[in-house]
Order: sequence, then structure tokens, then C-alpha cells
Amino acid sequence: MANVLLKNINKIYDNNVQAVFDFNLEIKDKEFIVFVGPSGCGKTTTLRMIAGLEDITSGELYIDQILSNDVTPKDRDIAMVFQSYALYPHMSVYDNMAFGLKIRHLPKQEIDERVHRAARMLEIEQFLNRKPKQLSGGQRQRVALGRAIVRNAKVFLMDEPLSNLDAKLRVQMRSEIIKLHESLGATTIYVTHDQTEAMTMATRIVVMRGGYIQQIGAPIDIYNHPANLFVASFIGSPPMNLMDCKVRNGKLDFGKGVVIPVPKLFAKKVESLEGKEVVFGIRPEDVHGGIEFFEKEFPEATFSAKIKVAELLGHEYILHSDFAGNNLIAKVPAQENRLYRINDDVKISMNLNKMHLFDKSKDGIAIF
Amino acid sequence: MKNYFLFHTKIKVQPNELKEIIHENYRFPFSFEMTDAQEGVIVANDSLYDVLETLLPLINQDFAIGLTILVSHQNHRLAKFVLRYLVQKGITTCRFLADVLMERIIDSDTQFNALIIDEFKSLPRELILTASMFIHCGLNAIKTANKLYVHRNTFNYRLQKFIALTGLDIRDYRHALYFELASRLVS
Repeated sequence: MANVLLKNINKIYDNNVQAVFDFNLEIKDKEFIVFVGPSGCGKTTTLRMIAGLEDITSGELYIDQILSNDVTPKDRDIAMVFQSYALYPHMSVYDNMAFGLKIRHLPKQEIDERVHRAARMLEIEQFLNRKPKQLSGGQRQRVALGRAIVRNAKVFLMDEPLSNLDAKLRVQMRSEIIKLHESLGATTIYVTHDQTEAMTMATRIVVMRGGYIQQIGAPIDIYNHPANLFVASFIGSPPMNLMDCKVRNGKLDFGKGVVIPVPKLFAKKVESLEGKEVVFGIRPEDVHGGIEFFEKEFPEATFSAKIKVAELLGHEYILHSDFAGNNLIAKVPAQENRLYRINDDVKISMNLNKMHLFDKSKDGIAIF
Repeated sequence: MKNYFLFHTKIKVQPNELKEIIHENYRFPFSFEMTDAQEGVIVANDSLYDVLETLLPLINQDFAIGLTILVSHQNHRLAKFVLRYLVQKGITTCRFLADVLMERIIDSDTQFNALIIDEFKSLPRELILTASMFIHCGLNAIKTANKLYVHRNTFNYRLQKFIALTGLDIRDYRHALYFELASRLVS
């Protein structure tokens, strides 16, 4: 398997649109890296540059310590899986998986071994004689993966491979791909706009926006310590509550007479921000409904609110209420004896030890 | 109906490799010729387009050759010029000449106009008139003959001559579209 190094990579298209700016990343052998970001953030362009399907305008790409900018795509030893799990329609599953190897004139026996090994891994051995139209969406996507696996490539590139599948199948295939990565041990670069996929699959996530890397890190680090406002709002579902406020006398003033203190834990960092406009952030799971512990711990961050929307997800509620003119989302556990309805009064408290603060004047960079 | 599938690959390919890929997936006869290591032309029935539409992403995925294809009624200067344009734009799909030209005209791009006009310069005027009228009469041969005050057989003769000289079988939608765009430019 292989490591991949991207050094100062830029991509400028013929129409002078720059899609990727100074991209630097070292991907270690056997890592599962996920590029995540909204549409047009440059994640697919970066993937295509690694694949050799797009030229690199400037910068260096190393695959296994070999400068690969000018290496042709087929010589990069890379296998790709795309969003559209297109298969050769008139060929059987076996032939679909074997076709690339057959054209490359590999010995018949080796082709047979590779196809059966991949089919066993993907549990599609019983479908080898079927035609694509006789397969379900999930089975077709497995065949598409199989076509990549048989190539024994050093690096796997996957461009939103699950986005054509329905929600249930996507969850199932997600774990299949994780298992597959474990058993193959191949360096994998996976592109998605779905932050849940990124969080559940990656060993490291690269969050991108407007062609720039916003943050690189392990999923848990990115979730707990977002580098800026964009990452904070993009990662997490429902997203982090973000509200404008001003630092006054070491406290956070949200206007309309709403002021909350800053816990001792962050007091020192807030001292230097006196008078500054900042953005307060708190994850919905750190906003609690009717839990005495937090009400006592943070009495000044406890208030009565009217529920605007109550979404029951089975094991938990997503409650929307109002806080200083902002929509505040809370995730609270669902209990059989406590039903939440619109216009119910509820005591909301925030666990301020889990709060985040972002500097408004510095492009929303995280203070803590 | 015969069409020319002009192609360009992003990287140099073995002629046999590409031919074999097409052969394995297309059961009708076709001729395959490479003009250099990255360009060539396939002459085939228009049903090849449907196959290529499915195949192209797969070929680009399996063999990473970055294939761009232009389907044209002739392998002429204009078609080669348009193919080059698609390659420069980084388009790796299969496109019809008429579709590309229509997009360009909508975008007020005039770079292909002179070559389009050139194609019909030496064509007898009555053939252009006949083909135009045929399209405007909704491909109704009797109506067209009546409008032109000619016998049905004369109309048929002229239409066949037009097809033979231009390679445009205007009974096909895309050929008709191309001719309609061209005749508007010519007039």
C-alpha cells in the first residue's frame, strides 16, 4: 500500500477560476481520509488531481515518495469508485469485474482468483452470473467496489460512492466500506458532502470550503475543537447553536438584557476580549431540558422557554426554542412520561463548560 | 444512419486496446482508425452513441484514458475544430456536433460560424431550399413537394442528393438541428 503527499497544490482552470488553493496534506499508509465540504469547495477537483484526471496547475503530488504530477493515470496504481455505480449493462457481474483485467491481458487464472477473492469479500459470489439489471442498488454498488478491488491498487479513491443509494442502504454500505478498508488495508481517500459519513468513516477528516482547507483532524477533534465558525456549523447534526454577543465585564452580553457568565475554565481567555464582538457556540447536546444538575451548576445560563418546534426522533427530542432572539436547538432524551409539545414551557440550561467562542473580526477563528 | 465518432484521449493509448473495449461492448459493425496516439475516428451506426453514453464513465474509470468524443455527420474541419474545443474545455463525454454548436450560438460564440457557412458554400441553392422546406413542413414529404411546386419524385431525388452531398440525413433530429442552425447562419 502507499502514502500520498500533496504539497502546495493549486488548481486553476482555463477560465481562470481557481478551484483549489495551496492544498497541503500528508496521507499515511492505510489511512482512511475523508474530504468533506459543501458543493464547489474543491474536494472532487483535489481527488481528480490525485487520480490524474485533472492536471495540477502548481505544487507537487507524491504517491509512495514518487513525484507523480506527470505520471499517467493508469500508471499511478489507483482504483476509483464514483457516485454513479455504472456497470457494463450486457456483461455479467463476473465479466464486469474481470473486464479491466482482461483488456490488460492478465492471465485467465489470475483474473479468476482476483474476481472470486473480491466477490467473497463483498459477499456477492452468488451473483457472479447475474446481469446488472438483476441486481439491487446496493448490490450494484458492491460490484462497482469489486471492480476497484480486483485491480489490487495502492490507493483507493472514492467520490461520493453512496450518494445514489437510499438512506437505509447508505448506512449499511457505510459500515461495509469501513470493514472493507479494514480487511484490505488500502490507503483510501473518500469524498463526501455528508458530514455523518465523514464522522463515521474517517481516520482523519479534511474540511474544505471555497478551495481552502479549513481544518484537518480526527473526527472527534474536529467535532470538539472546530477551528472556525464554518467547521463548527458544518460538522454536527443538528448544527452547533451560534449566536452573536459582546464581551462585557468578563461576561457575554447577548443584548435584550440577556447576559451569561463565562466559566472559570475560560475566564483568562475572555479577559483579553473585553468589548469585542464574538460568536458564542454551543452544541445542541450541551443544551439540556429540565436537568437539575446543570440548572444548579449554571443558574445564569438557565431560563424558561417556550418550545417552538419539538421533533421526536425516538430516543431523543430536538427542541427549538428562543434565546435572546436566536433559535436555540437542544437535544434532550425522550422519556415515556415526558412528552414535549409546541408552546410547552420548559426549563433550558446550557452546560457552559462545553461552550465555544469565535472571533468575529478574524473570519470566525476559534478562540476556544 | 452513418455517423463519425471523432475521439481524443487524454493520454496515449494502444489502438488495439480501445478498439477491443468498443468491440466487447458494441455488437454492430464499425470501423476504427487512429490518426495518432491520442486521436482517431470510429465510423458506426448512431446506436453507438447510446452504448458510449453508458460506457464512457466506465472506460474513464477503468482505464483512466480521459476520452472525449464528438459525433458528427462528417469527419471534416469543423468537426475536428469542435473536438479540439471540447478537449480544451476538459469535457470527457460524448457530444453531438449540433448540441455543441447550439450551446455556442446561445452563448454568442461565433468562432465556428465561418466553418459552418463554408460547408454549404458550394451546395446548389435548390438543395438547401428543399431541405429547409422539408424541415419547416415537419418532415412531411407531400406537403414539402406541394409547397415547392415540384413532383414528389423530384423532391425525393433532391433530398437524396442533399444527403449524399452533405452527409446530413435531416430526417434525424440532430442532423436536422445542425442543418437548421447552419441554414440560419448561411442566410
